[in-house]
Amino acid sequence: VTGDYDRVSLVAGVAVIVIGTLLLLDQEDVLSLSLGIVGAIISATIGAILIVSGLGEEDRDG
Amino acid sequence: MTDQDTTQQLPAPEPSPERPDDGGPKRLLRTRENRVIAGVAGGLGRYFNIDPVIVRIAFAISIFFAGLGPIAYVALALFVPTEPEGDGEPSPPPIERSRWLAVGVGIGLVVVALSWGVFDGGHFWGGGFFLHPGLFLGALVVGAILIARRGGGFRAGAAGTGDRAGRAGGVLLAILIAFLAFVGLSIAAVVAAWAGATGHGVAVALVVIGIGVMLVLGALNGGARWLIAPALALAIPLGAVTAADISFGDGIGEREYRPLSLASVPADGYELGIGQLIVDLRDLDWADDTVVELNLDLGVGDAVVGVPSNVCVTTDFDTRAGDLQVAGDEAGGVDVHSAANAGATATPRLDLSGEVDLGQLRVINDDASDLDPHHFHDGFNGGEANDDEMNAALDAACTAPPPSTEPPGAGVSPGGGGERDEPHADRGDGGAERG
Repeated sequence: VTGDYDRVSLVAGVAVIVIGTLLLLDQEDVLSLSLGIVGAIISATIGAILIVSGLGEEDRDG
Repeated sequence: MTDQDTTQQLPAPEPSPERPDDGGPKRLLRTRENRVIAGVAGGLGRYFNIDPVIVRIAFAISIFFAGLGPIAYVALALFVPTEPEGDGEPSPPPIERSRWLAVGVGIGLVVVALSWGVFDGGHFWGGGFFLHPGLFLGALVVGAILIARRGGGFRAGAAGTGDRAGRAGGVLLAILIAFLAFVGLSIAAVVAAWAGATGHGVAVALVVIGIGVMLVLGALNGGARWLIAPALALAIPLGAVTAADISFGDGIGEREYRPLSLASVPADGYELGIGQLIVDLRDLDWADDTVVELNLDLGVGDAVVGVPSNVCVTTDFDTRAGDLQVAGDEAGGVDVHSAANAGATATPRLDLSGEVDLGQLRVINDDASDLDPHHFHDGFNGGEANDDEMNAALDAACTAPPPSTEPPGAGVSPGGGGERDEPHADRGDGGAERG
């Protein structure tokens, strides 16, 4: 938690919203996701969360 | 760390970190001296007051029970602290010292994501960037565990200061919570995949977006990291099912077709949602100028096509993720296209097209091989012919000149009416669903 907000939750939330939106658009046939794109998006999401989590460790530990 | 260590006598009842002077409860700690790998067996032996050798034997035997022992060993090695060297506090478990591990894995995953196209997504799982998809999946699993572990909830009772009873109870509580979370997330993942395959993926996508909104709102109120796991548990399987275009609409089960005449081969080919699809064309009345155009559409599973050894096979076939094996030639990975013998005009010939979204296609050009994947043993064919023999036969069949009397394929397109033979009778009705 940094200041008034938790950076990890914020980054994860934005990433999850993006993923959900892409999946919704795919379900509605607005776009067509391939396995490669889905894999890359999931990898980037988990990676970003881990990076923010790791770099924010001082804050968690006080 | 030697075999001699494994027979070391249990420590005398003098004060030890597990049995503190203040008479507090025993605490499970990995040992520093009486260890072979990570000190888990030594710690368990000391905790339960039994010889560590017995624990090690139990771990060894457990390998034969779905490998539960090694999994438990790794989990304990990650989560259980190590006994102190002196009078200090126990060293925190590796998972507690994971800050830079998290950053490293995170950077690795981001690099993988960004380089997906650079390293040729079509061969990502089969090419040189990753030796095996298990490595990629393993990285994802490690990342997910780190997120779950660092997401809060498990930190209570871990290393550090605090009362020993609370920490000992915290380990058990963490194991219980982890188990329940695993079960719950597994159920969520299955539900998401099922919804996506049955046309209800919109609802799951909306739930994912809703969780994302809750995460953002939670971030402004102290954090809601525990929501990350269910969000990913829903999004990943839905994304996989959607991207692979998996649908349960075409049926589930095992089907075998053995048409006996050209007319009995349906013009639109064969379809199956999930399962095993066998099309045995070896009993067809193949003439020298016969050309059969066959389309297969399989969602998830194994598709096997059998043809006589003298038949040329051309393919225009795709898979979202899986293997395409044509007479011993194999192409595997993500978004793979097979164009074997493209342009060949030799006859008799099978022009095979279609798609296996997730799974395998095997084309076996051998007159005697068993086509049932359940019976495959050595390699993909597992029959009388090996890959080299089938490859040689296919090359010979596809390089033979077509008959000069009439154009190839004249009057032999499948499904053109006339007598229609039923699928192989011993697999049930209309396609012989079984299982």
